[in-house]
Amino acid sequence: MSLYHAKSALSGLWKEKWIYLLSTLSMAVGLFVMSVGFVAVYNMHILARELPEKFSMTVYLKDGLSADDMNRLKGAIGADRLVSKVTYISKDDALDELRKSLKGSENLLDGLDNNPLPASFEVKLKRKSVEPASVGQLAKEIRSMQGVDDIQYGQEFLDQIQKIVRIVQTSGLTFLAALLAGVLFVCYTSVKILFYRKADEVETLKLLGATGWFIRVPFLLEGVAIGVLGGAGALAASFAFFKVFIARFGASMPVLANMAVPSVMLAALPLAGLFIGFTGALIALGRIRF
Amino acid sequence: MIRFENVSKIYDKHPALKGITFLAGKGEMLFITGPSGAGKSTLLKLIYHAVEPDEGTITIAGQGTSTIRAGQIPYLRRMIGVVFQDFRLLTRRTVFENTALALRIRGLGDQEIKNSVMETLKLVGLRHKSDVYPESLSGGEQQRVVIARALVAEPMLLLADEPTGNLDQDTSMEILRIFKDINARGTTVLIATHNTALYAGSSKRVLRLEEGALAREDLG
Repeated sequence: MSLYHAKSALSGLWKEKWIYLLSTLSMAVGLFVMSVGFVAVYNMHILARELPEKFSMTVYLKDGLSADDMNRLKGAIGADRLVSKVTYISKDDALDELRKSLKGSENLLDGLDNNPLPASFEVKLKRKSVEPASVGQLAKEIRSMQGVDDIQYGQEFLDQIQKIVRIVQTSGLTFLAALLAGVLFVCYTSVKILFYRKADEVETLKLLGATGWFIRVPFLLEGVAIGVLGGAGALAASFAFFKVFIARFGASMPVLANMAVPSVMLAALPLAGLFIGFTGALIALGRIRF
Repeated sequence: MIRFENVSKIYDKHPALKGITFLAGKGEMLFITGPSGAGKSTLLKLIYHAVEPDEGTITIAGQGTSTIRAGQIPYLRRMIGVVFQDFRLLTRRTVFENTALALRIRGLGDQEIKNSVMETLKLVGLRHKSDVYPESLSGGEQQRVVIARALVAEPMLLLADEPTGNLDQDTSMEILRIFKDINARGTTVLIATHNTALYAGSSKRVLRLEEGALAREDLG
């Protein structure tokens, strides 16, 4: 690439400024919608990763376990990579807990000859280290351990959340891929149109002995310019949108207040624009025939 | 420099050239003549590989054009300066930039380009119009810009397709003088024309085409 190519691209941009403006705006809108979609998918991903910490599992133990069995079981559960803490709750502690929860009606328990409540482990999971699917697998493994009577956790809730997350992520990624194809197409058609508008010039260059790359470079630079400017526009629009959106609805919808907007990834929008612009232009130009 | 062996070209079932065989030596000046539609332009286009022959072989400076790879075509064309019949000037570029194109594609530096272009524009008498756009020039001046662009890179071979097509007699003779000067410096020159005044009394070879066939060869 030489100064000549840069000048040629700049001159091309200026002479066809309305086509470029429209293409850049289309690119900016496409990338902006992509960034909103990306933030939604990104937040779903974070939610899915953080879900397990909201849950604790209660592992009910069979009666009559020895202290050694208890410790072995506790050690086995605690050794799992997903588990952060295992707390033992004895039969007496469980009854006390029940008594506290029945405050004012404690006499309901007076008629009991013996304590019917089982001892249990409260199992806390590690933060940001497990997927909902792994939680189910862990429960299955614990349930199969000797001395475990039953296990309870928000299985249905987790399954539902997992399904929703999967649907949102899949449809979000499909949506993003479709938008990417759309934005790529905008760049492709813009460069194609501009190439045709300069068909005579291109033909003359070819007959004078220009190589394919000599002809392509100004168009590639023009494609890159559309991409980078479109990306910069999308970046500005995204920051403005999220600032207004969160400020306006964050108070009434706590989910929005906690929404993560990955600034570094948004800042990469002009770079994404550059890549898309370059690729679109490259496809549009194809093979130069002599 | 140029070797045609039994070359034929057919456009939509209509033969444009039929079994053409001729040889043009290095440093020679040669005229191709004949009525409109005789195949003069097609013959030149075959040399700079704008079209390909349907039969026969063409060799330019030892390079067979039918076996050339697509990536090599630009380099073949750089050996050849072409004065196109339809000029092919870029209307949005000045006389200087139009002439400089032939050097820009060769990747020369700005200063070198400036020196060569100004020298060539001086040769064709257009140095004072280097900043003018082609549309502001007369037909003869535009023709001279095309000649300047064809010459600026000092090609081994110069092809001119009806270079005096719409010009008056004085301008035509002025342009012929430029071609003779270039030829005297060692460049092979091939001129397709139906202007007999260009070659009359020149003692140069004149190939006459009629209905796509080589009808005869004379000395001008």
